[in-house]
Amino acid sequence: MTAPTKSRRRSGAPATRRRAQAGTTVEQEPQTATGRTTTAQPETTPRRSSRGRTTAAERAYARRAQRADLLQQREPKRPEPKLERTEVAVKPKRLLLRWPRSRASFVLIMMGLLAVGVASTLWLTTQAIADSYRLEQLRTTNAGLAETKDRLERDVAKAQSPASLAPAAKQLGMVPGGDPARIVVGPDGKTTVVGEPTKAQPAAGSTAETPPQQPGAPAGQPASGQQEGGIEGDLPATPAGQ
Amino acid sequence: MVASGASRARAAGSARRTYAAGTRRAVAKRGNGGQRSRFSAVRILLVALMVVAGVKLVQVQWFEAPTLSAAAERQRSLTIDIPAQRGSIVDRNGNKLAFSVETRALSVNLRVLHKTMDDYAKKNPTKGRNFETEVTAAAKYIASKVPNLTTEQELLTKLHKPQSFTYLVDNVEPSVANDIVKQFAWIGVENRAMREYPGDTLASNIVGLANWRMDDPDVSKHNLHGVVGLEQSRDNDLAGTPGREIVSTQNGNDNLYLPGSEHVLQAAIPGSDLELTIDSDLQYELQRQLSDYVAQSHAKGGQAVIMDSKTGEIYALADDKTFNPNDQSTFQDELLNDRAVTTPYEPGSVNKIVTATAAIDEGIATPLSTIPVPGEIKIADRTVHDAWVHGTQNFTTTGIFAKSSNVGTLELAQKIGPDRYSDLLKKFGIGQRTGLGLPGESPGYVPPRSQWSASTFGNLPIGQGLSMTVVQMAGMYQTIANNGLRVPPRIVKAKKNPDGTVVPEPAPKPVQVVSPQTATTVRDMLRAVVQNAKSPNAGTAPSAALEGYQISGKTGTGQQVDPRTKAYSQSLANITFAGILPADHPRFVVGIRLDAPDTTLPAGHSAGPLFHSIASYLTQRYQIPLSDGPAPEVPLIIP
Repeated sequence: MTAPTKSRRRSGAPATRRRAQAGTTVEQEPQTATGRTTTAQPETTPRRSSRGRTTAAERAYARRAQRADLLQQREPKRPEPKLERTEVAVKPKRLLLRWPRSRASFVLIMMGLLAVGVASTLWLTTQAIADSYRLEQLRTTNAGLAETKDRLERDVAKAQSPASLAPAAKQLGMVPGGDPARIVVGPDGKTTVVGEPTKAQPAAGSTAETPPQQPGAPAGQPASGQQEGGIEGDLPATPAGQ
Repeated sequence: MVASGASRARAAGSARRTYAAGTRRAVAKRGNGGQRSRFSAVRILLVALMVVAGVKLVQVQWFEAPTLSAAAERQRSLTIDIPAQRGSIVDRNGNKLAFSVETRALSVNLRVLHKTMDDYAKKNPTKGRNFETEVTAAAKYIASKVPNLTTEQELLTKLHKPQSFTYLVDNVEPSVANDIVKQFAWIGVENRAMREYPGDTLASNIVGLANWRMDDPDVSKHNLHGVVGLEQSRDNDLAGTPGREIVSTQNGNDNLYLPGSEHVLQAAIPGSDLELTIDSDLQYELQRQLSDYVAQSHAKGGQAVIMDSKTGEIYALADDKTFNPNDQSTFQDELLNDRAVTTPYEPGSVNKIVTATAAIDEGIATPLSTIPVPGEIKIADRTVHDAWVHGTQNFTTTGIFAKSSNVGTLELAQKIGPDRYSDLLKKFGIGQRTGLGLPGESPGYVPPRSQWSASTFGNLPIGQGLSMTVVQMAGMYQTIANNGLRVPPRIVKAKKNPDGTVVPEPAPKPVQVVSPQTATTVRDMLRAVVQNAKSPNAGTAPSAALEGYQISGKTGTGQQVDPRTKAYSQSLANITFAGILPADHPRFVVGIRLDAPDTTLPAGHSAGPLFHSIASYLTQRYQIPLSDGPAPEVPLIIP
């Protein structure tokens, strides 16, 4: 009893069959219209074959037989199986035969696929959500790091600016160098000193304007210059070039 | 009836299709007649349900769809303004003069806070939490977090204001702001940006100032905008365009974005960076030396400029006093004014270079040709004296300019003629804006040729009756330094777009003012100004000389108009100097103006010493090779 109902639901039924079905419907139309009292027995009669199967079931069996034939035809093409392997070779054949035949297994496969699909979708969604939490965390970390970078850059820019360097240099006791003397090496290798090397003077409140106006002055006050320490190192070196 | 008829038809149809159903039906009919009506009742019910669902579906999906989806959007989506980073301003070596950092402003909706805290206190009287305790705790916490920005007392005052809304503190670092908000959820946070000026007063007269503006009613348009200086005039380049994006967020947590939900409505375009021609080290040194010298000479003020002699690029442009962009108390009109470009003055003898150039160019004189120069000269109704008393002497042309003889200059000017003079003055760029790129630039003033009176031509050649800025003044000497080709100065070197492309500023159109030969002759002639020779042959500014380098320049003393008498003052003067370093292979042009120094002081009498120390620094910083030899000594007065 189960076979006919199953075969009716098959979607991939050949066109011929559908046509046949349509024919039966037309035949049946008057029957249903005339009276509800008609039994199911006459309706089914035209579809029954001699062996008590529906035509669809017949066809299904036929198709199966056809498939089995096909498989048998294919077999000789394969390399001749050895004797001990024959049993093993039978198995895939059986599997192939069984494969689409069982509706239950098909449904099970479908259900399995569905389950896998749902599970993987769930898993992916969970991952995405987890990632979004991670993303949030990374965003926060990133913002924090960017801020630190900004702060450090700000500090560097501030420290690099001449506006901070000059007072820092002053704190170390450095003073503007004033006019340097220069040693010029002539083409003959002889050197001449241009300008008079003078010791840099700590600017007493005002600037380095004073040294150029009184270039002779430093001779009188070398002591104060030496107290500065650290900067007068260049001075002995310059006259040595003379 | 219609429904039952349909169901009957369907029943018949099903009988046709399904053998099993047909059997079932047949069985049912035979067995129990009441089943049928129950079936149809259920069917009617189901159909009715379907119809209801369909109607609702249409209503929801069609008529209410926009409202509902908007409501849903509101619930989960968040529009975020993407701030556009304002471009930095850097000097020619890439040192940052101005840049932006992200900050937060904290605010409180006092009305809401009052209400929620009062409600809370009413409901939980035992917990002892009310508006006062909350506010006190917050003030204490914030003050401990940002000790440099505000005090506890200040915050408490703000929190007790009889207003519905107040800002608490601005320029808070984002992480600190987050900390505070975590503690006190009722504190609101606004994204802001702060402009950093690491150099304080360094180049502030050029760079200017930008601050956070909230004029626009649309909060998303609040941004940093320039107030003065380049920040203001180049605001369009620097500001950029803020963008907006929509993200779906978790309910109640705006920081948690749903993955893939970011939808950028408009991408933020960061502002361009500006690269200036300024050298910040040199700028600092010039500002320092100038303000020191102004103090030393008891001047009211002073301006100075250092310019590349070939390209017209301004390496430093200083005012003796300027504002500090990091200190609001210095935002006074007087300090915000960049007088180096906005305030022209009468330059005095520095302007004699026009006469010198014209005289050489026209072949009226050569550097060593002599003319007899009396102690005074009468032009129309006015008598012009020299700065010192002398009888008629034979001055060489070089001597006239090196000793800055007004009479000699006017004698030469008479030979040149007013038309040629006026023409040359224009070619030197006097009376026209230089277009260097700073806002509020003054063109100076030259009386139009048509309005010249008889005495006008007795004033202009000696630098009175016309005015120019220190940049224009330096521009004249740049022309002579650059072999007669005047390159209009500029201060912005290039614009660096956010995509990394560098767009150089359009090069200014140079003007060939005189021939290279004339320019070279004038340049060599003006070396005598710093000549330090025996009595009659000393120039006006030996103090400007720099050992090892030939210096070409000109001193100037321009009488100022006394604001009280509206006549030329005898005591107030512009002490000016413009010089070329080195004269034989020019690299830099320096222009200096001191506003009314005490001329009895040695420092106030001439700006030569200031030029000397600036030039000395320049030679060291740029490792300028020494001149080939000392400038030859030239006779100035032939006895």
